Amino acid sequence: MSNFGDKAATLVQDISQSEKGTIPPYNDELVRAVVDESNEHHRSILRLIGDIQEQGTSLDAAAPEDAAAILVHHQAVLRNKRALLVYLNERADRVRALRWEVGTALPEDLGESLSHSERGYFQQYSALVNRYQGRRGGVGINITLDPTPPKEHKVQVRVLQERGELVTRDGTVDLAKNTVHLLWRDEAQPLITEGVVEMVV
Amino acid sequence: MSRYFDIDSFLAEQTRVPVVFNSGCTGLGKEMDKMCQTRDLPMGEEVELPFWLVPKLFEQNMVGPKMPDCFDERVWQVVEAEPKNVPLRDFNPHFFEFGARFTELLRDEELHEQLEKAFTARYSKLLVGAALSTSEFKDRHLLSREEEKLLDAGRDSMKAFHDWKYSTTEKLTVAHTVKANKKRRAGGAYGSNQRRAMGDNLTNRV
Repeated sequence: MSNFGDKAATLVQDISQSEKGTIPPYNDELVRAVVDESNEHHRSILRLIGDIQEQGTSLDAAAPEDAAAILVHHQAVLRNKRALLVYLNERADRVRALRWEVGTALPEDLGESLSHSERGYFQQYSALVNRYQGRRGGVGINITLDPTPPKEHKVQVRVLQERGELVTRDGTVDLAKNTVHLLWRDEAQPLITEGVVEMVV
Repeated sequence: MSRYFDIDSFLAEQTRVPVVFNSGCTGLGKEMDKMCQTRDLPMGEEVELPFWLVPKLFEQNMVGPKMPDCFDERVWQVVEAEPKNVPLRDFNPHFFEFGARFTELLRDEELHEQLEKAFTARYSKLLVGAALSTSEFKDRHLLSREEEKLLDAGRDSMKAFHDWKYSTTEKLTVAHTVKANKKRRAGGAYGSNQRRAMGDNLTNRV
């Protein structure tokens, strides 16, 4: 029974078991461990090749047991590489989806779950989407609004978190806790996705 | 290569397969077999390897794979007797995915047929569960990962169809990520205060 690739499997399991659409904290420790393990395999391969050359045999004529050992180490490195790529790729997908869910501002507690590079990735992806939506060189419309076709222009919302005054197209609204307001849909949507207000049907 | 990034495909390959080494393995005695006394793995030793290691070694004729536990004789006896009520995920959570990869490697016609039969027998139940009932599918614990994904896909499309046909008013909801984080932080205390004050709401027309 071999333990090769077990750490890699734990890493992928980590993201596989998380709830859909959420981002679990970046597992820096395990990622490092998998990289270290791969380096260890690399050293083993070099050692084996060195041993073979020391005996004076060419690599083509190496004993089958040496060849098997090198192959095992090599496969283990490829497996670890795949695990890291699967892990990072899945996270990158979810980070991109975040831009469409929560908008341009990364919620503080969520930012803690991302690695430094992932935060940078989010900022840059967000900037790209903004540029596409912009008036200059872009389509000039907010494409993240209304994922489903709206029926009404206005929606009724109840305030869940104290937010002070909000300036809207029709004037200012005092977002005091537990008050109910009728807002323009496009103005209400960011507040709803952030969880500041909830929709009343 | 799209399967390369697939999480379930990756995890399916973690299944352990018993193999016999046709050649030895230098320096990996302890790593492959805890009971091994020598530094090198001797020839003809039987060990369990994760599936991802097997194809390349098999290609070079360095190992001979044997039937893994999840496709054991006893398993098939149960599956063939009552295919619809067997908890396949207890044998292997990726029963069909792993089975497909394994038969592909060994070109095992018999196993291939057994898998296909088991899947077709179970599929009808899955289809009914997805399309006709909206209540919780009560036999979820019997399903393998592949079947679960099929069920959920069927469910989602039925729901989308339903929403479209009866065009229920869309409701905007809080983002998944925000909700999950809140749950983690507040641990349930959140929400009780707001409910209390619901009666004396002010309605402001803007």
